Amino acid sequence: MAIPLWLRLPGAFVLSVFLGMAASSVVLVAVHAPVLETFRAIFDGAVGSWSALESSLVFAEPIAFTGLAAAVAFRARVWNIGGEGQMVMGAFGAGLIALNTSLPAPLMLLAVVACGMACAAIWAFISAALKVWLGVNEVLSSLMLNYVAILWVQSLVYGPWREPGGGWPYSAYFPDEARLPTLGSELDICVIFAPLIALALSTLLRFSRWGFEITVVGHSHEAARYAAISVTRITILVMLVSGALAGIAGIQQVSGSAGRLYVLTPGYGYLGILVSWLAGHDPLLVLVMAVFYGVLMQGGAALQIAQIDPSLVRIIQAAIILFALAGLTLARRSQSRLHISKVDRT
Amino acid sequence: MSQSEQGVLLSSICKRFGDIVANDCVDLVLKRGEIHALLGENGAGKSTAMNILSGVYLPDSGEIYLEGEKVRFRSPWDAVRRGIGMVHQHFQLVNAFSVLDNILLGATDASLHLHRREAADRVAAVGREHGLHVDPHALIWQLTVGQRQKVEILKLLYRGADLLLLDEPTSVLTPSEASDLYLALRRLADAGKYVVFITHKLHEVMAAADRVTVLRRGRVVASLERSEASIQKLGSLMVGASMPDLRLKGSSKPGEIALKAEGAQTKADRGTSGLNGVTLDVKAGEILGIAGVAGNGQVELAECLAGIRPLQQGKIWLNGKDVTGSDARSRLRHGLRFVPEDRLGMGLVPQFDIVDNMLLRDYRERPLAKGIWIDRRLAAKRAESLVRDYDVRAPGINTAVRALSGGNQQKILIGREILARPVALVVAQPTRGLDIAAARAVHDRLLHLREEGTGIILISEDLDEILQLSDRVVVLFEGTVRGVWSRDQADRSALGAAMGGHLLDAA
Repeated sequence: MAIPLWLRLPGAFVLSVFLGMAASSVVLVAVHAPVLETFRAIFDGAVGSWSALESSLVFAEPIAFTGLAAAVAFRARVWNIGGEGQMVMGAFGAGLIALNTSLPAPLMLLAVVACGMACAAIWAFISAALKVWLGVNEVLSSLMLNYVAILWVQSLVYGPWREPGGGWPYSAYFPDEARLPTLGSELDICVIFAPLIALALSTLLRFSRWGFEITVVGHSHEAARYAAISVTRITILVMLVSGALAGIAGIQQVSGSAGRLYVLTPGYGYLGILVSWLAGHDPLLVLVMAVFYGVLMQGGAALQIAQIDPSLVRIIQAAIILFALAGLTLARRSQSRLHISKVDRT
Repeated sequence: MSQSEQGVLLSSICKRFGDIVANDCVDLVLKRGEIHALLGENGAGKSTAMNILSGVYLPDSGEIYLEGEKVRFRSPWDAVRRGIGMVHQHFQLVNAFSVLDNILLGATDASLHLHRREAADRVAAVGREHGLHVDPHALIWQLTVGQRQKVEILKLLYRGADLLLLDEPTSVLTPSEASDLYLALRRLADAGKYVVFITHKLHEVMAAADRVTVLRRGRVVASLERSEASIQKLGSLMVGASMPDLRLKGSSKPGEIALKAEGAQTKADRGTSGLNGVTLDVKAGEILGIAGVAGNGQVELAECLAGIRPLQQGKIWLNGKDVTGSDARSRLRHGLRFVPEDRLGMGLVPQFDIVDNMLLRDYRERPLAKGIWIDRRLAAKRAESLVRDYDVRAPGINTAVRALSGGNQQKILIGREILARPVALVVAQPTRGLDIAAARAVHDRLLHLREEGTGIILISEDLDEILQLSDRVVVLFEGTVRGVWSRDQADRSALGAAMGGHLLDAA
């Protein structure tokens, strides 16, 4: 076929997004909603202006981190579904330091971040330990631990950590030293760290010995045994890294613009899984896909402000994502098949 | 044939799979009330013949007659309807179901409504009649392996099987369970059933069969009454009498012991033998051939030597050093290389390209490792020179190895393992599935390596390969060493007998 290889994935992606829009416009027509105006409103609301773009990035930020978390684990075929719980534990760890200690300015923030990442990593380690030493399926254990983590933070913000005198399930505000530096009105410094971390992960996965080990374990446990790579060690390693990355998403939400511990908006952990699949577990593409998802979410939010039925918004989002996932999956599959048929001809 | 009126007859059955002829004009006569053994090595065509008789495969040519009537089975169901049932080596039972439910599952008379109580009575009756007592309400996972096998047989009898085929029925049984099975088979034959079992163990033939048909390389080489047979005769029939050309050049000038196992013991994978105290050694510049039928401990031996499977007892020495306690990585570093038999499952990562497969075992050693990074440019250079030296047919070094032919995959695997001229090499089934030219190329490499002074342990089910290449031959049977022969003393009938579990005085 005439389409060059490098263009196939982006081509498939753009095509599927348009197909998803076409499919959802059928629904729009059916309920007599204005098609063009709707898509225009999404576009304007998500990327039409600097402030719109900034709002999109606010959505993309946590998803980028949970997406990177999922990608690292999935590379090794360790199915960490617990990004949500690990994220929440990251927020808890941040709150633990921010609300209960007083440290000088640079140390405080470092401690908040370190404690958040550590709590999230420990949360992931529970699933890893259960898997490698007791043979418990990590999908189930990490999923169950999500609920434990959420209820734990809920019990804190409704109980002992509730802001004194406040009526809502929020903690007191974090001291300024425990807050992430902001950029613009809503974004924080993590928007810069996300690409740096993605780049580092991508480099490590591709060129380092650990990356090689993770990839071997992800393809074949027998080959790993043969190469004297400990599957146990790699499983624990990727779960720790994955948990810590998901933890950053939690830290970012409480230490960022919110500035207090609360029951986090549910879903970012699971969206990370979706984004990682869209990206083929490639850290750099995870960023792209996180931004794409952020745009969809912000576009949806803009539509709701424009008084369009929220269920329609969900339908549009779902159709576009489904088509994108299907299109990318097909494109990746045909790419590897092409590779093989090329060989057969020689 | 005059007997065709009374018995079951397979006439000139041929079956090919691609280039491999699995059955080449196989004739087989089965008689009512007789226990018939099909004897042969792996790949002799026993299972293919039985799968044809039970309707799993269609023959390319040839006919099947049931008591004079020509039949053609299009599916296993056709065969079941005509009273032919097969007990597979791996049981086809649902572990969470009861015995009764397993028997009823897929039974020919099953209707929407199950008459459980009547069925239970019938199962019990069939069991009593044939001396196969199993509690119909027991769950499969609670039963021993021997009992599960009885359930398999009951299942066939319940469906009205008249001809029972058993594929290596004793391979999973303890000796006392096996003698129970022989008794059960005898009762079935006495009750007027046809009984056929597949085996490669000579003593089983002598203990349980009335008649034996020996297959070798897809052909029937003999069919004898038990009274005409002897262990020695069956052994030489099974593996053939002619000696292949010796391919070793020059007398061996073996040096120091390169690799040695002493009293090696380890647990088995399911259905195989494990190791029960194996002692053997290979000297530098020598090829030690390990013959035996698959599943007698070869995989376990290779993996224990390579250090990727723990030993429960015993010791391993590499180049005079005790490496029992050291892991695969440090053995690798000290010059022990390993070509596993599962090429794509273990030896290579199929989705990786040739370059990354070059890295698989050496990525953390210098010069491929540079600090925490790996040097793909060097790996690519190595891949290129390997492709050149071994004449690997690949479009490029960035091709995924799963896209290559088996022969080219094996060249990459062996080439990688012997790149650094190892002290000792363990190589398992190096030419399985390869065409003649590719196999020859692999053999040349091994011989060259021997000249250079590597101690090679060659594990193979192909006795010809062993005899062509080995300075000494060891036979592995049920996880123990059954005799050591030097190349000039080795004779096929003694080896064949040992492979079938018997040690002749000659050895």
